[in-house]
Amino acid sequence: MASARYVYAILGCETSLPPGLRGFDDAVVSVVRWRALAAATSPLERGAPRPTAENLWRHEAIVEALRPQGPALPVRFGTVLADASAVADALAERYDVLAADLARLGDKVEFGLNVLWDPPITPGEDLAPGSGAALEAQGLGARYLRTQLAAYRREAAMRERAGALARELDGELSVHALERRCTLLPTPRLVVRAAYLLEPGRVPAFQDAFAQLRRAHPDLRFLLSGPWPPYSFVTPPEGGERSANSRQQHEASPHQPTDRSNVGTSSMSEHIVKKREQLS
Amino acid sequence: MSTTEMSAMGDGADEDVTRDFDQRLSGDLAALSEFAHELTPRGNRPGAESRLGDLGGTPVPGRINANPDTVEHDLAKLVLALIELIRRLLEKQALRRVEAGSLGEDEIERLGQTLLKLEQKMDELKTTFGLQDEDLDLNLGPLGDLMAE
Repeated sequence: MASARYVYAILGCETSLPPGLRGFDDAVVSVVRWRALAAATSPLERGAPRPTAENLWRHEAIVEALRPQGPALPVRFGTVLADASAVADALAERYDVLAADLARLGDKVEFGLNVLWDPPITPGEDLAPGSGAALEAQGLGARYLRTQLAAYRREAAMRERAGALARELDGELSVHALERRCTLLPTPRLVVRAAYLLEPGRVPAFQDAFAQLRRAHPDLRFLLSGPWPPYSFVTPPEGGERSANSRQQHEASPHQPTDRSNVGTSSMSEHIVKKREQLS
Repeated sequence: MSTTEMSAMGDGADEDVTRDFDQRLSGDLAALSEFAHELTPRGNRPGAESRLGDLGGTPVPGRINANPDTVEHDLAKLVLALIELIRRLLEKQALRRVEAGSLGEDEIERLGQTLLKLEQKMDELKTTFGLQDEDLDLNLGPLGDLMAE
């Protein structure tokens, strides 16, 4: 009976694998080819691996072992297809997109940036019309609506300040980057969450710019992680991926193959920040 | 970390993982637990279990599943998500009209009472079906999340 296949990365078909490379279940990693592309895979005997710290690192170690061999496109953790034939079908189905992504991203690296702030407190009295004693004198309906209006204005003011801050940070960092993905206020305390795509040669300059930003903003808390394979910049399959502002991470079901167009966009660094915190 | 080292992972694996990851982190590492908290989806944070879980059910997924065992609950979730979206749109429109000064005091009072009752009714229905605010933020695929700004 054919085994399910765990997929680690997409390579050029000429790329050779490091000798003795073993993946999940200690199975040998091999390639499934389609035209000029190849997928690095290994058979799974015990179902899809759970997103534990050890498994995330094993996936990451395989991807990183492949990258020195030639351009490699990272595949999202937990991508499992029914068999080798399904892997070939997946390559064929998204061939043009994957080939273009491999050429664009194959030798690039990604850094993840997260910035915490203490959300500015905007006094409601200044923003709510008819506030204070006047508000008390109003009917229940008017009080409700004006309280909502004050909250709405506070949020708008906060977003405006967050936007200005994000533009300032991005202005310093993006000059060293090829592309970036930025989300403003994914939570009230996380003012910016961003991913930057870099040429490996620009990493030192990018890290220097980050260090300067930290010194310039002692009121903020910064977390930079990387370098990682460029998970966040792989083109997502149409209709098969949650949006960039999604609040939930997709995880593969433990025993079911994922959709065959499931080639990564989730952030490895965010997965690992959470797992790392659980370990400490 | 080499693959050989990964293959040899044993009881000390967690330690190795932590050490390797630390080399790729810079910034305010003392605030790592705060970052981890903010990066964890609200529904997955400690102490944020779904109310349905308290009733012995399974946590509500981000998508509607056509499962015969949960179809009634999933349908309620879909309907409530749409009502909540409309309620928020109505409320924003009302706030803009208040801001613009185009409503008299009587109109503001009536509109406010209507929206307040609608919010209270929604809270009742969410409690009945064991749903929380984030459960109504449905994933619309490439369109993003239903309640996204």
